[in-house]
Amino acid sequence: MQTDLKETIEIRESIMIDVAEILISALHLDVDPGDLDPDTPLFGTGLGLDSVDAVVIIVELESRLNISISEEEGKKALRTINSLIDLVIIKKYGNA
Amino acid sequence: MPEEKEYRGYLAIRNSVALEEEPDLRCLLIKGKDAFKLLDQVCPCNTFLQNGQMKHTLLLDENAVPFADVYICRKWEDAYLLGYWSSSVDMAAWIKQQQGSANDYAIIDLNESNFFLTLNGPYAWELCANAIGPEILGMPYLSVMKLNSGMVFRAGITGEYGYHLMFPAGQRKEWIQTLLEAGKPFDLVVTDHSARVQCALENFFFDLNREGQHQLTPPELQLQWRLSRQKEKYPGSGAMQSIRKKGWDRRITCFITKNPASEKDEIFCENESVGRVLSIGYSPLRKEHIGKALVRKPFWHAGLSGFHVNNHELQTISAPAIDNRSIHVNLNIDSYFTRNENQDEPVR
Repeated sequence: MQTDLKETIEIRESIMIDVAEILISALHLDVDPGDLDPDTPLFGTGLGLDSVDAVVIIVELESRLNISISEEEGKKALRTINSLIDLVIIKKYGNA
Repeated sequence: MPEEKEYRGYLAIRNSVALEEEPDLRCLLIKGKDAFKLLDQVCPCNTFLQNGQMKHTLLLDENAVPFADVYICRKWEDAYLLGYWSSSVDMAAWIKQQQGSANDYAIIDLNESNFFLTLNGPYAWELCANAIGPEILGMPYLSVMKLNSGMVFRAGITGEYGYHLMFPAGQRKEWIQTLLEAGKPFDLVVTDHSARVQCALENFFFDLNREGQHQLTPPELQLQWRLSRQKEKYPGSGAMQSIRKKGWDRRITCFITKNPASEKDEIFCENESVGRVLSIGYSPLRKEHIGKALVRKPFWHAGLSGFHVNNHELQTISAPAIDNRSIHVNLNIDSYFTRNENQDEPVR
């Protein structure tokens, strides 16, 4: 496997662990990290979160991962766990 | 490129409203004291619902492979099973086989006396309210409402506003005419299922007729959210426990490619096979092909490039692939008639 592909995979796996941990602990989800598939919808169906949860997720991502997220960025990223991972990668590494 | 008709239907779902008659949408009414006890026997999720609520789940066979893509619904003490399953499945008979101690119930096949229409699109709510009544505006996502004759289920698999309308079979012509008339100012387009299938693909909704035909389990389909981890006994629960214990090494991943490909085409990373295409369709909005592939670990992540199919580049992406207009539409202030004034909506 190419080195850059291997690195990208490692980064995504690491951030997936962080995001799952944040979702489970901050929102008190009664699930195991392994139950959270990366393309699970966050709102409506899927995890069934609401607008208060959305604020909690953004605040927790900012404080625990030391990143800053604008309202517009948050709105776009709050679709699935994977879209949150994309946002964190952009914030920390500059590309998704 | 899609046929002109399909393209029009697709754009209506994405930008205005589309009407589709859905003969493949099925609905069972379960009545009686044990209606929800029975539902609990067959569903892999927690079946607690408030009056008027719906929940998206699956029905699994003994190998934990989904054979039905369903919503469970409550209206007062009645339970409804709404969704898609093969016509070869005798659902009422299968449910009866799982009844356990539930015996005070009756199952009524509502398809025998009703028909289904579906409205999808960012302004489906407005057309629906005009045609049926303003009470439609108060329906939250995943809710059900009874009409004088008929029912409305607010759900949908396109990422846009969606309403399944069930009316008595004898009122078919009348309701289609009513909706067509009400739909004229909304540029309503009558679609077949292909436009909805493409939209569902872009929004990563499960398609029983495509990836659902490959004997894949909920973790491989990224559908664990349709199940409850806490629930121990349901059809397929033994297989699910075994899968969770052993783990899985492949899953469905969304991808894009500039060139067409076919189902079952192999995906490579350098010269190594990493997966295969399960479904693919052209996205008029993205102007590229979007698909779902079954990709093996550790290549199953979104956001990876360097793959190829039929010697053309392929990139995995996060779902959904579309910035749905419905997310930007506010029922309190927006309208189809002022749609171009909303600066927040994606321009198409």
